[in-house]
Amino acid sequence: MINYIPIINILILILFSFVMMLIKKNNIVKFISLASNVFIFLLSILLVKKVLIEEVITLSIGNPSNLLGIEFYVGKSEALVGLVFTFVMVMILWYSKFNLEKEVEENRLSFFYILINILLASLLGVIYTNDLFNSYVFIEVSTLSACGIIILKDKKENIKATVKYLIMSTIGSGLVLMAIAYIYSITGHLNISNIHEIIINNYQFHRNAVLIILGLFTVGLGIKSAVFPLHSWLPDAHSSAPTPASAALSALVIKVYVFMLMKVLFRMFSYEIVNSFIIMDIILLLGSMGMIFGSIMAIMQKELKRMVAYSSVAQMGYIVFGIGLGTISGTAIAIYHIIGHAVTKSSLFLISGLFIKKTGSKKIEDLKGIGREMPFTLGLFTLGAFSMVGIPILPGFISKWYLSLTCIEVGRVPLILIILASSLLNLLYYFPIVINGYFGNENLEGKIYKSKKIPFVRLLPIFLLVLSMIVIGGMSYNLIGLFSI
Amino acid sequence: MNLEILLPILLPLIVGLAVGILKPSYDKRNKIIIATTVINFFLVLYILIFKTNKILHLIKINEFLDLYLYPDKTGIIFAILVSSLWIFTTFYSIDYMGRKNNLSKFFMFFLITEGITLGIAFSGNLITLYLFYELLTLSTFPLVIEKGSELALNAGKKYLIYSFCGATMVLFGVILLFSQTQNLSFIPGGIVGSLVYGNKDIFLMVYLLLFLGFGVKAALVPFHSWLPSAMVAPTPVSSLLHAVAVVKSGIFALGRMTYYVLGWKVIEFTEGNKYTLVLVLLTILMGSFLAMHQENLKRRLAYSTISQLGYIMLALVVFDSSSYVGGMLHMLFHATIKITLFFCVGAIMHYENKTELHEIAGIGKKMPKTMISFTVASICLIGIPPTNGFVSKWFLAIGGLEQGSYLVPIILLLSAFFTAGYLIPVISTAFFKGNPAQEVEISEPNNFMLVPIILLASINVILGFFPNAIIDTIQLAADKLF
Amino acid sequence: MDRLLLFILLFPTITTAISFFIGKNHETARNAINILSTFINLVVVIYLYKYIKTGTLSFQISYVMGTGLNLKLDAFRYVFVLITSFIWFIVNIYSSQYLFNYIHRNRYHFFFMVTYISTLGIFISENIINLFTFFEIMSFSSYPLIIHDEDDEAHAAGWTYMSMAVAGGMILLMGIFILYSYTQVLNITQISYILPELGSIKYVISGLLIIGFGIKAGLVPFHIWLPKAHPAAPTPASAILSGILVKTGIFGILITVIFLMNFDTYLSFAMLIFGFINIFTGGILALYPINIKKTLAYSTMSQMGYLFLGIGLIGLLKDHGYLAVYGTMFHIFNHAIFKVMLFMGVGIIYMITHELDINKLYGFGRFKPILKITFFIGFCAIIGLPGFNGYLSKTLIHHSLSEYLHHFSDFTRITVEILFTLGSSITTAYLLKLYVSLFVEDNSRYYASYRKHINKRALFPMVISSFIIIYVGINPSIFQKYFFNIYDIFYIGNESIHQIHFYTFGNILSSFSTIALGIVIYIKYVLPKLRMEKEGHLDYVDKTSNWVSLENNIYIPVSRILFNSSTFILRIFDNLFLKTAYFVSHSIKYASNVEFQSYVNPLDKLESVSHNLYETFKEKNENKKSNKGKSIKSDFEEKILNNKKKDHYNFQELEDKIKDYKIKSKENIKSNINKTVETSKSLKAKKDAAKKLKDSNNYTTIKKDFEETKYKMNSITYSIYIIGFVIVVVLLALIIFNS
Repeated sequence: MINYIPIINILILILFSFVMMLIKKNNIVKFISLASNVFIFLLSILLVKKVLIEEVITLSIGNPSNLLGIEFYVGKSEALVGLVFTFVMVMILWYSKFNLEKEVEENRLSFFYILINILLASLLGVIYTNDLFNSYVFIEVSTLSACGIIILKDKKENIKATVKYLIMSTIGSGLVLMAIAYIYSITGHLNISNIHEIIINNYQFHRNAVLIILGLFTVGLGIKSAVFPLHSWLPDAHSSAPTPASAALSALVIKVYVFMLMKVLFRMFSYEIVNSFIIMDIILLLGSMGMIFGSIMAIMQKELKRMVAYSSVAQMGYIVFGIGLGTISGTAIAIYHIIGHAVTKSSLFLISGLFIKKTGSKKIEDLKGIGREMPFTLGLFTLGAFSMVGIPILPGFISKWYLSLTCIEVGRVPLILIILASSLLNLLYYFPIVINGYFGNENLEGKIYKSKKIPFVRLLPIFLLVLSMIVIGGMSYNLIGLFSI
Repeated sequence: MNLEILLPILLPLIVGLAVGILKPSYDKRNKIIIATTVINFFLVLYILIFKTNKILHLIKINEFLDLYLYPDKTGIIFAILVSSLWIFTTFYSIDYMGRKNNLSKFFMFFLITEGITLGIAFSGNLITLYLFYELLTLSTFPLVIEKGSELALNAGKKYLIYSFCGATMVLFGVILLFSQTQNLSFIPGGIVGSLVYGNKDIFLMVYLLLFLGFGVKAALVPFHSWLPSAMVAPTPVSSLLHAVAVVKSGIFALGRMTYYVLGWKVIEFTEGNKYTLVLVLLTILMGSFLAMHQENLKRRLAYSTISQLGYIMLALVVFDSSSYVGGMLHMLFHATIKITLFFCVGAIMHYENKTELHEIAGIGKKMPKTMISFTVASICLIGIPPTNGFVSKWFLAIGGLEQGSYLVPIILLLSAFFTAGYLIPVISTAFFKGNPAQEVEISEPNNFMLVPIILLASINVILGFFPNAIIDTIQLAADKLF
Repeated sequence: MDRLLLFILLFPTITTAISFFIGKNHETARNAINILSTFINLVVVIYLYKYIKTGTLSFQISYVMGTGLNLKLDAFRYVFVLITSFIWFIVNIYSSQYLFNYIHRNRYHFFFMVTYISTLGIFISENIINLFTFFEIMSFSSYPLIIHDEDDEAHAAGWTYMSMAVAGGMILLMGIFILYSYTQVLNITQISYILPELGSIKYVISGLLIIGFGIKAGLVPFHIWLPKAHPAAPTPASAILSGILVKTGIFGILITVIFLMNFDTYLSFAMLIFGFINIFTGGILALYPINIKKTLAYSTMSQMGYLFLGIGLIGLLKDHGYLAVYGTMFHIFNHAIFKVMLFMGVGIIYMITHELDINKLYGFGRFKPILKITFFIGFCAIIGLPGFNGYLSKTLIHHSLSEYLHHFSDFTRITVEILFTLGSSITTAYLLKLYVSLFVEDNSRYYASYRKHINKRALFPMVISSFIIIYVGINPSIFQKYFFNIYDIFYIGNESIHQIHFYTFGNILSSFSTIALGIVIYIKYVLPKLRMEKEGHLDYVDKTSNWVSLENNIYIPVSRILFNSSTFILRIFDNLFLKTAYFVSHSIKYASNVEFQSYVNPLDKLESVSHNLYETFKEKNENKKSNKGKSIKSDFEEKILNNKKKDHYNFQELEDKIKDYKIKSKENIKSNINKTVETSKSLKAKKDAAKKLKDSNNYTTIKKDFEETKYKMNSITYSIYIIGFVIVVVLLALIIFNS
């Protein structure tokens, strides 16, 4: 039974989304979506337990060797990533239960929850599946639903951002599709494991073909996951979307494509194959550029959400950097960073949503003195910022540390400088907010001190996210041991 | 399980948070704070007696993030210094800060900082120390910008960024070090040992990175400029930051790094101390020289702190038993001396609100007790026997000569000359200028301020007369290392 | 009994503390306590004599001051201790009277006593660190005495004194550092076993020590503080400064040359030379000043010269330096007494008149017998007139000098003899100047006045010391009688000790000849050359005022140059990194200052430019004060309107417009407008327009973005650059050092 959990998850989500469409009352919709997600969360806990016992679960529907066969391959990393994603999604839904009305009109609320369900389903699909075409389908679904979420509040900027996103990600998925078609034409398979068996034997006869496929996959998935030079759609989309949506987008969606990329690179091909191509160095370069330039762009920003969005470009840089090192440990750290950043960034986005709601302004200058009004919230923000900057024990520090150690291990010591420099740059754009928030006295006159205190239950999801962030940091040693592709 | 070791760290943290959250009334708050600091002092003494060289594992996240406390002799000496001086500062700052509202935040961070500093003192390996080191930056930052003015905020940002740059360099060094020796714990004589042969360069790099990184907090010359600009802070903070907590933590970390992690033999092998010696001598000279140009008294003292820290750092680049003793002695003595000086200047600022040198003409006739304490402390700082400053300087110079470098004593004496150059004008302006004493009526600060000042001043002299007990204790620690 | 050594240090300490605390309110009680305590100390010291006669006293406390306290008293140190305690006793009596109308009396007495204690400490400390300790305490505690008056002169003198003293202390300490690092012992006796064996380094050490002590003793190149500080201080203070404190320097040098270095020949010879230099410099400089205290200060310098000479002779004559030892110790004793007495006399004059200018004081003491006589006795003593104590010690030093010289060539011997005589004769000259003008000349101002002011109790110490002078002068062997056991400390066998007959014909003749020569100098040089007519009286003029002064023309400029240069250098280090950061950031901004133009509405530009033009023409109009201004204005305005119709624009065209407008305006206004002016104006207008365009918001530059995000980019950015810089530097350094 437990072996069927992956497919069950996806099916349940999609099913409930259909159910939700039929229901008019928003509260019921909320309840249903929350319930379904919580249910999924519990199921994925079960899944993780199962996976931890027996290394891997494969679940095939139809004959995996031919076209129509679908195969789900759930290793430890898949299961854990799925678990964290569902958890984050539950928290986001909980948050949006209180705070979405401000941003989205009444009649669109249900639509949001439906889309969220579909989105999560597609994400889990991409994570679990072991089949290229299948994953392509899920990628498309996720893209469309993401666009739907962004466009929920139909401002001008939203529409512009959505169109931008749609165009770019269509290009991306087009490239991915080309890659899939190409590899199918070569190997006649869509199942990753089968393709791997074929490629591993005779890749040296088709080096160019392999190179092209790698390039297509990298660029295509790179566009979708906003790897540095291809990130231009991200800030608009993430900053303009309603807060829970941007949290989901920037914490979960872009990660999935990188995860997919990892599968393709290291499971479909293998470490020795990809390391024999220049592609890894390019990925490493992109990663480091992302780490630096993402942060610098973030420093330039004047709007809070745009800044956070750019910071997730930088954080994607870390993940890509981890991949680009092209070692098992590098991959493990990349996956670890996916998890840690998912938790951190979602909490940061949600908190910034609260700030914007309180001050009624997106500008960072207007956040001065916010700490006097919402000290606890800003405290949570501070913790998130610490993780980004890299204070020990928090996940940001852990991944930086392991990345540095891996750099030494592969004999690329100067790269450590890039990591440290980027963490200092993180300091530059996160700390002014904290400092001005707690110690700046501007914007306080004419405001009632501690006006409209937020009840704790509304902060609870964010609190849980931050707590889980600390836990992930604390358990890092065991976690990183589990991750592999 | 030695959970008691955790007590002196946790108590101020908890009480501080309580004070910050509950915001008790003026009198109650003062009682609480005084009680906390005093109890903490006795807790440290308890640890000295019962828990020396006992180990306490906090958490082991993985093989490098293994946090544990291990109070050894050196650490406890530092801890006693910190906790005792904190008591004086508490009394002083109660009067100094007065009855301004929302001070509870100030005192919250004030106490938290003590806890974290003690954590630095007790930490048992480099990563624990690094953790507390970063936390120290964060907890002292609100104290620096307590005034909240634009100037204060800029100074605070400067302080923060300097410290974090230093911490980043430290982190880089630690990573490199860890990749070589899968171990970061403190062992007398270092953990590197024979690893250095073969990859000398990487250890040289590690040494330089760690030294420069920790040197930022210890106001090593290229990275010192946060120290004078952090003078916008209220005086108790400046005295703590510049006399005890922050700079001494930097020094302490440097000492750990030099003698307990890398080991002086290794450093000598890599010849890293040749480069750092230059920086340190430059620090001594520049600090004391530029102090003469400062018109503002607190800035004067800040620059003098820079040079005095250079004295202490000599013990970390000149590897000799007696210079080690001298350095440790100076670490203690400079703390007491400098805190006295800051207290006196603070008293003048608070009661006369005079901050510049030319303003204080004849102040010695108005507040004689304060200025006499100032005089005593400055004579100690110049290092005129029979005061404590002379004792440490003696050992330092002898240590330098033992290693055959005449430069060290010459620089020491030069900077002592400059020290006289920037302190004696203050004294002579205070006492021998302005109206004659008959026409000035005496108005001393009240006892909360005056008693700590006088006590500290007398402690300096007493330590100068009877330093042998301390010297012997430190000599024991030195014999372990050399 | 050894504990008495500690007693003579601790007892005054306690009484001083007591007297300081009660002294604020009870002046008389304080003075009584001080006088009493010094008296008791004197008695104790005299009592100690009976132990000194047989042996030495020594006392130790370990575990104090790091190195322990180690006191020792032998006959040789006893001379110093005795004279110190005696002088302090009488000066204490004196100063209790002297300071009647001074402020801060309490402070003065406190530091006076502290100086006393530390001086005693110097003389009885065996451990060189203790010696240094007391030496430093003495330097610092005599500073408040010097600047007691708190006027500018006093502060200037105090500054010189302080910097010299601290520098001297540091040099001394450097010497002690090296000494310890080579010998590893601190006791003077033990050092004297090791140090002479060391080789060339011992000259470095002893040189440092001698400079350190010499600064206190007024050794010639380092004497500059002495003539400034001694006059600036209140008289009792200057009395002890001149009488005793300089002796501490002498003591140190004696210890160094004779004991530590074990009669080293080179050093002793150097001291001999320095002795002559000091005698002459001091003497010659003492001829000129019009400030009487300054004269006495210089005379102290020259007397110190005799002592350096004596030390040198002791070192050179080694174990048959009996006369040298005798003379030197004796002169230390004598000089203390008569110099203090002279100062006290001057002090009384100052106390009455508040005047130190010899040109105002002439004839003051003409009708004041006691003062006159006592001063005369002091005068006779210092010039070495037979029958007074100065004569004895000078004769002894003279004898030992000739003893040293007797195996040199005649030429040297005679030249040195002449030099010596000349040196001592100058003493006569300048003191004669002082004495004659103060006590012999006639001045109507002081007839019968001021008599009542002279205070008997202030005269009392002078009388005592004059009695001592005469007593010692009359029975010369008394010193020999009581201090017969100094010599074996100097390793001088008893066989060479013999009775000296002072009043032989030769000695008296030589002394008289010296004095006669002095009188000749006085009459032939001082009287005619140094005076000039001024309202009916021949005033002395200070010719040294335009001489090259060691302090103002050498020390201060050199040190100022050093100071400024090092300031410059160290300032660079101070803000090296901030400056680099600024540089980097500015260069980045500059590099990023590429202007790319967004769409600009030409009309706006035209607006701005033509508006400018309009302004210029208007002002031109007003200059012309023409009544046709309006018409010009209107017609130019419509021109602008036409321009606005067109929506393209360039400068050339605009210029053409201006040109034809000019022609028009010529026709319109019957006035000769200078073409060049207009063209220049139009050009100016063009410039302004260009500038306006540049400033106008239609341009967006990256630089602007920087400025907008400035509140994040101040120190933080700079420090980032700093860190980048540092890391790069470190890496480079590693690469360089390891390749």
